Amino acid sequence: MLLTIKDLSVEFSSMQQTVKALNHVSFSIDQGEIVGIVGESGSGKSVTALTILGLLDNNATIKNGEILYKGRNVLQLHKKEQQSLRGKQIGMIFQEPMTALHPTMRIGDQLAKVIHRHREIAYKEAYRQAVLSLAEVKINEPELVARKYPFELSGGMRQRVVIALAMSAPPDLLIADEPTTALDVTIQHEILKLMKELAEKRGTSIMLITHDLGVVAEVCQRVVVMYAGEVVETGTTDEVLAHPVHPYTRALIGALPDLASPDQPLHAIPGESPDLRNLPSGCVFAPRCDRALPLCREDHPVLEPVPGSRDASTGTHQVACWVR
Amino acid sequence: MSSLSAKADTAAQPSRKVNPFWFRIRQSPLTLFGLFLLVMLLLLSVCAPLISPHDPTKINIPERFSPPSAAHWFGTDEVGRDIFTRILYGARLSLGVGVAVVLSAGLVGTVIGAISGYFGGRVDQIIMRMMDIVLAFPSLVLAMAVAAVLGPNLQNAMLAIAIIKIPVYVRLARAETLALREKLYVKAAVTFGIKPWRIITRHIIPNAVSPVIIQVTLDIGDAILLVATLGFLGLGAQPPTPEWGAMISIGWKYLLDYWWYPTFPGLALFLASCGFNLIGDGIRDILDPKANR
Amino acid sequence: MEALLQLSGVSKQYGKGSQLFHAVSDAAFSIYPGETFGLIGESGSGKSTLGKMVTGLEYPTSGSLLYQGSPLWNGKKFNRRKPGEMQIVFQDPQSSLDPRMKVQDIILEPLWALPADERRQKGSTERLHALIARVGLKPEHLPRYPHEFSGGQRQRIAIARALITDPTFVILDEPTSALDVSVQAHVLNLLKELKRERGLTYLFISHNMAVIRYMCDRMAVMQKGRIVETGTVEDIFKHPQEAYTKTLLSSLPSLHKENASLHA
Repeated sequence: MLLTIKDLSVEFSSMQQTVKALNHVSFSIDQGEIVGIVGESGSGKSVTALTILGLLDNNATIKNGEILYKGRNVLQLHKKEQQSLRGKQIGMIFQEPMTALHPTMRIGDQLAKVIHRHREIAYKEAYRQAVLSLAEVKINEPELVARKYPFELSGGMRQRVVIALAMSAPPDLLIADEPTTALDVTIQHEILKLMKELAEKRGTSIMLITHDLGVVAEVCQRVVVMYAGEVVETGTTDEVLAHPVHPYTRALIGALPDLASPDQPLHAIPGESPDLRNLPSGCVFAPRCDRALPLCREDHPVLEPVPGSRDASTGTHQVACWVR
Repeated sequence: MSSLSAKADTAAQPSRKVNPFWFRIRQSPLTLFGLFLLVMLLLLSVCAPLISPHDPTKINIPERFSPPSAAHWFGTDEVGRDIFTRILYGARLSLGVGVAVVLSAGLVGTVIGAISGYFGGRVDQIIMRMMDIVLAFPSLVLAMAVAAVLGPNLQNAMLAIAIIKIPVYVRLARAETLALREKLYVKAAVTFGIKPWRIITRHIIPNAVSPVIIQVTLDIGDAILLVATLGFLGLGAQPPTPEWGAMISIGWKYLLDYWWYPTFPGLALFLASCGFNLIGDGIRDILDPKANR
Repeated sequence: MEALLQLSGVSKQYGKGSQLFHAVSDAAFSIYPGETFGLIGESGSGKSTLGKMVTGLEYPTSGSLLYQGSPLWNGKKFNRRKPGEMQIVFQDPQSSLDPRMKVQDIILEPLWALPADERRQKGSTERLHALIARVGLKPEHLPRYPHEFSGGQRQRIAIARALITDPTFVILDEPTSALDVSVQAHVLNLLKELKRERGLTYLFISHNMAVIRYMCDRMAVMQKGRIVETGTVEDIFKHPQEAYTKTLLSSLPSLHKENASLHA
């Protein structure tokens, strides 16, 4: 395994209150694998990424668990080591490309600087490679774009540049947090395709954080469904989307207007999103679950392989639910 | 920001029990100190008759220029009045005048600025050029000129200071209004067909008020200094009114022989303006979302 | 049947000379009473500008917009014949609600554009309570401020605000794009129910094909300021005529991997 997260718990404290952002989260990503982390706001999907990258705010505490990257516990590294890990081995792509780009530096120079540092080659050579990397992310006329400033590019072009930047090291793992949410649908499609192709070509693993199950279906081999800071279901994308077991996963798919008949109301999940300061002692989804048993309100379920699953032999399809 | 932020993840949670304002104030020792200074000054000035047995204006020639002692903590002045008592009573005047002047300038300036920014066009042009004229003069010179023309008394000094302070608020409120005019809730009000005056009073001014409050707190210290300066120049409060500026003005002539006379009013002035500035800084940190840690 | 809203030859240009930019060119469509008309396009397609021209935020540089047969714009002046007739729900409930106003004042605000007697009648406590109950809010929510609510609840507040004047025509400008999927389902259901109960007509502006398909009867596809295709939702989804509409449809991420074009 390239990345293994074991029993990770993270809390935020502010104004004498404790927000339990992550509770005993475990999952792993293999070399060359594209794994989707799906959840709504407050599910902890972004906090997971920040923890791996060592970018948590000061008011956060890691209560429990470990993050093994190539066998080393990332949480025990020094700031310096974490930094070099971030730049060289783990690339990042965020929702808003402008946050990753220097606003007043030409695209080519930004890329060349990073390549110059990571690959330890002369700047001129780095610039040449920068232009090549722009071509690699399918930017037409890379020489021309290299001389432009970020504000001169469209949102989709900027995100391509950010991908080139993130892949420049080149990293073994790419963490992409809602990389296409701010983009138009037609461009979203192209960016996802590009990420997938690059990952396949270089053998890079991708941890793709998204709220959009459609995006997961398009590019991810495996999916981790999160709710209220916990992993509630995980498995291969085909299996989880076609045969979801956890009531939340089912509800999330059912809530999509994509396949619904316009004559029927959508299957909305009843109740409010969970309050992370005051989580139920039993299953976190029980208060909104239409199939909850008395047991669900008392005992906290843990991830266990789904018995009747197509992937039963490998045990990859796992769910944290008492109701089977 | 991207969604990659823990704050965004928890932002949707409903309200908190702890009042964030007081929580933040308690975390900033300097703001607390400023608050402490002002509360002390305020208490002392309000309770002046209880604290000091002396009359602030009673002349007592035999005890003139007594150095600080148990009877006269800060000594006496050239006609034997107790300086400590005069500072306490002067605090009422100086603080009151400072607050009143800045509050009225802030109020008038905000309304003008909101109108200017909301309507734009010619209205905006005329108002802003007028403000430029006022801002073109050094503030003290203009205040002196206005006070001198109107006649040297405290009311006119206050008016003069208010006038020179107004443009600051006009500019502040105008800039804020220009940003607010683009806010979706203001546009929503426009699409509902709400009248401009109601939009200005209900949406623009309430939302533009935070930077104005910060500026007000920062300006009060400055206004107190200006009142004192005008007093020092003989254009403000007239004797025998106990006013800090006037006291320093007369006292500084005696500095070499009777050091306590100008020193203590000066110290009071320093502490008061310090207090307001510290609080102003503190409030700015609290209200400015960009400064959030 | 007479159209409720009729647009013909509507254009909007910004700037002049070499800086001239055509935000909307020659747009024409009609919306009939009781239908939900979808306007779909990507960012920069001009759909929001079109929405602004209908609501009175931007004037058209040419063309005519008729509401119930009478023009909405006289040059640069917006005619609001009957205030409260036409209401709008914006995309982002976070920024469309004044953070310093209480929920009650927010919901009642549109009434201030009405004559005093109508305002009193429509703003009665019973009416307000019935309305907030209908959109799924509680009376104890009224004295609170917007920041105390989740995104979905805020959008319910915005919907109540749009309905307080008893409008006939409601413009929904990306009403769910800022919301989580599970919350979006609640809001879409609510909007559909309200339309049925009150006989509303909707103009639904969105970039999301799935939402348009679920919500609308007829639709127009916009690209670069032009309307490239108009028709019933069923026709457009089943038999798209224009290349751009086909691209939009194929870009729709599908849950069924087999159908996703990446794997085709």
